Amino acid sequence: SMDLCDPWKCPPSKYAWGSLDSSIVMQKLLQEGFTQAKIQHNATGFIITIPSDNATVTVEPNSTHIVCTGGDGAARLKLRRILISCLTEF
Amino acid sequence: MIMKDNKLKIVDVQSAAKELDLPRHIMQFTETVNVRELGTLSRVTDKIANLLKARLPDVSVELPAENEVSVDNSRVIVKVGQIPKNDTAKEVSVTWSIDDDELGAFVFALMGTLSK
Repeated sequence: SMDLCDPWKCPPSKYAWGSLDSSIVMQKLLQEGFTQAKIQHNATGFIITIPSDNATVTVEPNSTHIVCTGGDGAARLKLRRILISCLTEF
Repeated sequence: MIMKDNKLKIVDVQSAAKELDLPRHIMQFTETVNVRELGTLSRVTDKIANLLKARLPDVSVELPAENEVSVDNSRVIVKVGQIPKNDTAKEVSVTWSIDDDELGAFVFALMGTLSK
């Protein structure tokens, strides 16, 4: 029988693994039209700011935080898709 | 299924990642919107909590800290803040992890309806 679960508690069908490579991420962001993206490296990771979309992406070896302000969610979804494409997913 | 040392193995996701030496990469999101609200921060926080309780009757909605709402044991956190020099609007930020994406995106979408 099909296993039905609470829509708010379904685990994701896939997980992302590994780390993000800053140069690959920047290249993809530019390709996808985030031409104002600027990167700043810090001790453990990097921060990408995208003023055109009021977005900031903070990247650490095992985590990424996408922060968007004043938008309708479109920038978040696009950034999420690009960043996941730079990780191993299974 | 993974291939290692020329052998194929079927293992669960966690074990596969361990074998391949890949740590889990956690993705988090924060979306911030301004909502037209005249009341005090705590009143707006209560209003948001009540809206969430009404729309998510099977999920726990709590107020763990001042001007903060926790949805389903902190799977989604909503924070209400003042906007400098603005008395007619509040800044509402919603934070969640990719594991809770449906719930997080739903709560964020709901915040967009507050002003309307």
